Amino acid sequence: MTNGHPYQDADYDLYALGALRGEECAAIESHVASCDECAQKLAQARGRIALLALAVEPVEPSPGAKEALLRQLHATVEGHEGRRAPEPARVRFRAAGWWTAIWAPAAVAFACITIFLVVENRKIAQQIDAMHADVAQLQAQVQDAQSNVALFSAKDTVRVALAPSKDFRGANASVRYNARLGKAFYSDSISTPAPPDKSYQLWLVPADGKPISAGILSPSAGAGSEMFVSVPPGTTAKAFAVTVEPTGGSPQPTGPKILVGGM
Amino acid sequence: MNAVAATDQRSSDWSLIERVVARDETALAALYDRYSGLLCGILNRILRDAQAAEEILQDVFFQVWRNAAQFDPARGSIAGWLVVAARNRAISRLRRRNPGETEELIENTVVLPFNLESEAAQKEMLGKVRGALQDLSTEQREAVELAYFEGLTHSEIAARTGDPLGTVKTRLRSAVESLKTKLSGPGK
Repeated sequence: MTNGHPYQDADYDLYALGALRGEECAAIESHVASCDECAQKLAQARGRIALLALAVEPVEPSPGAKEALLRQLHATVEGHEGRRAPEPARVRFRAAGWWTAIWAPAAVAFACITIFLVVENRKIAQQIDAMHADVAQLQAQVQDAQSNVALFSAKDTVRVALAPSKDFRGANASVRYNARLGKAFYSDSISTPAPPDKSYQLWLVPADGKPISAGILSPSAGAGSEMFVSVPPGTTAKAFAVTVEPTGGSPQPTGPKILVGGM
Repeated sequence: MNAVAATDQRSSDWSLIERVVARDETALAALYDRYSGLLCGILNRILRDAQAAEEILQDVFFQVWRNAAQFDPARGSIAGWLVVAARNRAISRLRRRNPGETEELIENTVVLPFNLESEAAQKEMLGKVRGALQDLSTEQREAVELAYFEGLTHSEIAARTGDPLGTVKTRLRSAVESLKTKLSGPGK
């Protein structure tokens, strides 16, 4: 308490112990702030008083306490690294953005192209099917035409003239028929349309069995009717006839005969 | 115990602090292993609440982690700082003081008269400290314990014991002088 050092070691011990009042503490703190020697004395006093902790039996903390501390450190380290090195994160973000900028439109384009190709493929498939059908139809028409040509050129084709009934006197009708080919060509000069609710129906009268419908005639004004007819090949015909039937024809002849021609 | 742990056990407090500054968690774990028992003992003694004691224990070591770079070997010992920080935080909680009052303790210098870095040193000092306290009178020891473990001032001790304030002051002063004699380091 001399030579400009107003406090004794015991005062610093009491300060470190916490026994002094606020104003007493403030006075000591003010002094040591400007006196290195007394600051060192205070540091030593803190050390002496700290030793009193050794009077207490040590207590091992629970394992969870250390784990909690380490978790806290990990969280800090991760947060620190996150703050200290944000650039890689941004780089990654940019890289991801760059990749996304390329990938996303490409994926959309790919999806659009895929959908377009699927739709187009279906359209093309439908067109191909239609073309196949057309080809088949054309082939059928060609075959039909060939068979028609064959009908007229074949030596076994026979021509049958059909005689009109009295009501159709003056009308001409004939049938070229080839039993082997199952084809026939009918033509007439009847220009009178069928009565209302009636149709003219051509019949093949086979050698055996019931008459077979060979089609409905469609006479045009002043021109008569022509048509190719297909019948089961090998059918031996006994005669051909035209009857007046209800519109659309009948399974079997029901009306009057207007034209009849025997083989 | 693995080789790293064994090395950590032999490392000085300051070498561990240098590694803590470098964000080496194993170094802080080594410091924790070295002093957590000592600190938890004093914290339990003050707070009489194991959970609160462990909370402060974690808080103190986390402050070491955060402020390791501020420690200066020229300014004292790590062990001393840990004890002072733990005790002050516990007293603050016990007396419901603002915990912020203890934050500046990192600036405080604590010079321990003995090295407590080994478990053997701590045990040796335990005996010495207990002996020094036993040498005090019952009244002196009671006054010291009220101040140290409960954070009571002279006036508060006087109020608690019913003794005159002057008596308490004299009792405490003579007690710390006695302790200084017994607990001063070699050559003191």
